Amino acid sequence: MTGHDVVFLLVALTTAGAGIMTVTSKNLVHAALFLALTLTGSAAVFLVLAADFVALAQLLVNVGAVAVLFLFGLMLTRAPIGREALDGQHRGLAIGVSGGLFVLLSVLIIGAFGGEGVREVTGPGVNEIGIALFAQWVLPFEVLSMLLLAALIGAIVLARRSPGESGTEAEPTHIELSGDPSTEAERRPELTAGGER
Amino acid sequence: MFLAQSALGVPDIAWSSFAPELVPTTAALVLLLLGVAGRRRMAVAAPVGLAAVALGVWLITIELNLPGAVAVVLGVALPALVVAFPRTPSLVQAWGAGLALAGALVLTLWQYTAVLAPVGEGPMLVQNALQGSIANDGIALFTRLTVYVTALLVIPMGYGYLRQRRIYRSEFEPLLLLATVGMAALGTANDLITIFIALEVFTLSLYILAGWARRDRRSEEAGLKYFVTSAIASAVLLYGMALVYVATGTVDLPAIGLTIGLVTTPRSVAAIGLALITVGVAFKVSLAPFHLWTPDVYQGAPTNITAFMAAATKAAGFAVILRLYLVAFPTLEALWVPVLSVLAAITMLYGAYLAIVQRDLKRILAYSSITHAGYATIGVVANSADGLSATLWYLLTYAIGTAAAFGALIALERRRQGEVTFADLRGLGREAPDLAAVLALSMLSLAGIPATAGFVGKLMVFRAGIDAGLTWLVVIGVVSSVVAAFFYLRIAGVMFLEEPTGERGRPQVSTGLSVTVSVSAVLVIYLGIQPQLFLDLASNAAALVR
Repeated sequence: MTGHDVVFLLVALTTAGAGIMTVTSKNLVHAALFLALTLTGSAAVFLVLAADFVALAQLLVNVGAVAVLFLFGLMLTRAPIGREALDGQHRGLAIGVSGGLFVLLSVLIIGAFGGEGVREVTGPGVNEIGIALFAQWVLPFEVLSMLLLAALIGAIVLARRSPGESGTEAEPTHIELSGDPSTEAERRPELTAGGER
Repeated sequence: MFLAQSALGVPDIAWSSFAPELVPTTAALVLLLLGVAGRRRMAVAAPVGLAAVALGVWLITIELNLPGAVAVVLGVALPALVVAFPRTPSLVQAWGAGLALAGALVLTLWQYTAVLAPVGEGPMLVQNALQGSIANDGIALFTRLTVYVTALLVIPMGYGYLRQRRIYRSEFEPLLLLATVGMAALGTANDLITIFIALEVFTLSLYILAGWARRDRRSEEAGLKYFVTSAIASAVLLYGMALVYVATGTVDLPAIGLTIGLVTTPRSVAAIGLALITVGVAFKVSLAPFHLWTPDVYQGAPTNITAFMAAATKAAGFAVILRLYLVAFPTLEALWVPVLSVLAAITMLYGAYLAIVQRDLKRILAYSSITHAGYATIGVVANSADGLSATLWYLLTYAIGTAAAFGALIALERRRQGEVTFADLRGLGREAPDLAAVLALSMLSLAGIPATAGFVGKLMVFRAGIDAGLTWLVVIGVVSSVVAAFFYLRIAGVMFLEEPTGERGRPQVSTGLSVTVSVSAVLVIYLGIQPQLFLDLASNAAALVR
């Protein structure tokens, strides 16, 4: 067992553990953080295998964007966070599906690459990819910035209220929670009823 | 056009190859800044204008007179607009966007005359730039013309409409400009990656624009529906592109065209990729049976956006279809020609049939746009130089006719403050003869009646189809045209032959609307009676970067 193998084993075990914690954690924020750890771990696996570009892309896209997006989504949508927020109604089904997927992928991967040993990665490194990005693919890269700009403007348009648009015309959202009055006015009628208490 | 490369492999950039797109892109950024600046607009306008003038002067000193003049004019116009409309920033935005699009149009023509114009007889020259990402050829030229003209017509058309519905926001023009740039870029894109990204730029902008009237449920539905269906179509398209890349090992369209016919290329993988790509692009231009999103989205979106979507999206979508099938897949002709022919036949018949039973004019025009996608496809499956120029020309005439029709519809919708049905058209010929005349003219053009632009377009497409031996498809096209003529002429008939019912007030026509509607009506007649200039341009345009 070489040092390389030991490092790989440690990283892989951490990743797998974090993955299990992601699905067993009862707290949504904890689950999201464990997800970030899992994704970081898989980036580290790529790094150990000397695929540095894939590792960095994984880190940037999945950890930097997706996991952070999860956390922001949790904060902004006022999703139920805290203990016991996650229910386990579909646990059996989820175990069945993910177990089946695991077996299927294992069989496929072992069947396809089982006999081969570890080989040197011969793909282009970050340097070459970077140069290609800004020389060969400079136009799509620049057009991509327009795509992001359009997405940004679109998000602002969808999210922002304009001055004339007070929101009063919209129906207040009713959330049916065992008959609880859900709007502020219903919950605290004394606020709207004036001083007639 | 490969210029000397420096040591790092960073290429020199052929600016002329995408000069027209630079103007609206810059304008979108500047207009966004103006919107943010609020009352201190001058603090943005003055330095930007100064920079543009300086750039223009520098361009003139290096003998690029026309681009220099465009930069100078736009640079002077920006602060002038801010001074001229101190209380209505929305007018600054609209004028700024309009001028930028006019500049883009001028640069498109400059690019044609300076770089691409044919020497003597024969097709135009082509320019392959930026390591094959950009191909400036006939498709690029006509897509630019169509898209920029449409956007130029749509901006003044919708100005008053948006204000009346109280849905105007300063982000409108920048988003519209970005969508336009995406479409124009799609017309020039010559590799799969650039195609996909350009496609996403304009569809992403259109998702937002379709859902622009957020408090209108239908508009919300339109935005969401367009987003969901279009995103799925994009995913399918991307999957097809990936498979084509797997089969050929390249994303460059001409290289794919060379590789895909070789014996070493796995034919089944390429064929599945081609099938997925066909589904994806058929969604984008709404060929039946992938058209189901179209009527709802067209009906729900604000009418000026619908006009833009109907006219310009069609042109951009067909640009990518033409380029993919004629440049990348000509050797798989035996696979895609029958499939696309059947799709075209279904589209023409189904669209015309469903248009008859509609009451809402926007839905009628939506189904009409589906039908027209079928006609344009005839030119694609003809798979010839004639077919190419016929389709390009057809898309231009269709765009102008549709813009005129939706313009007239906007005036009616503003009176009614709601959907427009046949009852609203009754007796319009007496109440507002000018508006009725424009609407009738656009209907005649869409129906393909002689002496309008639509007739010449249809004639060319059908002739290309017959020359390619697709007589059955052309027969179906003619049948569909006759059916379609029924509902187009019924609209005209209701306006002129029936009595008005009750007092409804005059349709509201703002200056911008009347100017754009008149311009498109004049264009419809001009292209119908004197098509020669543009027909020559179209037949010159049958040149591709292969």
